[in-house]
Amino acid sequence: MIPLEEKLLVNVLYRQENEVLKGIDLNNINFEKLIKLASGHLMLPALFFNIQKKKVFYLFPEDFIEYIKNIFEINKARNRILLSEAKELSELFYKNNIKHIFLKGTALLLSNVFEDIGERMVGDIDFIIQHKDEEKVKKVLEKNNYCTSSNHVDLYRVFKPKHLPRMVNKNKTIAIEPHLELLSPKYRGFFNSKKLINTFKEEIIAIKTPNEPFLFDHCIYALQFEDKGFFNSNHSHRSIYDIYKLNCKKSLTIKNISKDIFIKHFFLTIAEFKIFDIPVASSLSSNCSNRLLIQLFKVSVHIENIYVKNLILIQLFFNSELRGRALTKIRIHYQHKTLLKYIYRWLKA
Amino acid sequence: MKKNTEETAPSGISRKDAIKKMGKYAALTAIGTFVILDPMKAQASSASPSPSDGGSGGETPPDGPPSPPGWG
Repeated sequence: MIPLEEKLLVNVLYRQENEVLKGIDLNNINFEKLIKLASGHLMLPALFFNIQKKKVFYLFPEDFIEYIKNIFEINKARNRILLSEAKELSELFYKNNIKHIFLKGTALLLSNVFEDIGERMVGDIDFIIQHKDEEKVKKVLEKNNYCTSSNHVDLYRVFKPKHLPRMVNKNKTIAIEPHLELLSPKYRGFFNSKKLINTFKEEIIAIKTPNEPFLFDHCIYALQFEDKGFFNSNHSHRSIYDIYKLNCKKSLTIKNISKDIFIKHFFLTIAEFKIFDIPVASSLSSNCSNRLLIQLFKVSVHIENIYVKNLILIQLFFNSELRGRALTKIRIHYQHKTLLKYIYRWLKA
Repeated sequence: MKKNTEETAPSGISRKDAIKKMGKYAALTAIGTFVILDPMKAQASSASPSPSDGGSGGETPPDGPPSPPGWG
């Protein structure tokens, strides 16, 4: 059963003005719950934009509109800065002969996927570089006052990381995240940057973004794997909105959706909202295979967690900086915890 | 007799009420929204790659606010 507030959010975002109240009694809407829901999905700016576009202000309390209008305006101003900083960054890389492609929210804004740049909330500037350029990028960014968090400690790497540590510049507003890959190592068998990296062979152009079908796939795979949508059937309204705005008619054929279990799962999870006109049905056999796959994934994630924890423990022996940090953490939290007391003494010895 | 010192906007709502109501919605807004909108907080949320990123950043996440949810 979809909560009334979520129904209203979906209606405002995806339906015509005369259908906004379809299946809803406005008297039963709790606007505080709507704020909680929409902000949890980072959808307050998109909600305001659609209320404005569909001219349905009269359905909402005045203070509610005032509040989300403020959020929209702040977000729009921030996105203007984000776009200008992304362009500056691109020019910097261009000058240093570093090939790069913008990803995720920044790519969506640069590709003009949205009617208004204030609609989409974007955390940071994501872009992908070639693995061979990693050191060069680090040097160029450091030279231009970008630095990683003081908490960051370089550890021994087994796999190519998804991205380098997030970097900030005290003279800039938006943090940046240089990617080496699109997903964590365990998911790269399903979706990786191979296709995207091939486009690096093309001539450098200052602003480069993936094509829309690629953004479509990245959006769905990131939600299914990194945000665990495939494992717990959670949905993200921001991702749904991105997919809706990407309007990939070629990708949205029933044949394409059915052949990819993860894309199919995405559309099955949100089928109850009736946003996309695609009859995706789940059969008994596909249900069973989905469950089996989910269990396999859970086991592999468990194994990986144990492996990573052991790797960190091993590195405690060799990395004095990491040992120092561990010691500080334990010093703060170890009181009355016998095992921690023991580890603290052991690390200190 | 109580002295009325409150400013009243043309809409009839007093400033105190407006702040109260703004605060009400702000209090209900998810932290992720503010983390994105406030540049200082967003920059402070400098999350390093997690251990699941292949061991490159197998450190404990920093003490700053969490990174905003979603795929960016």
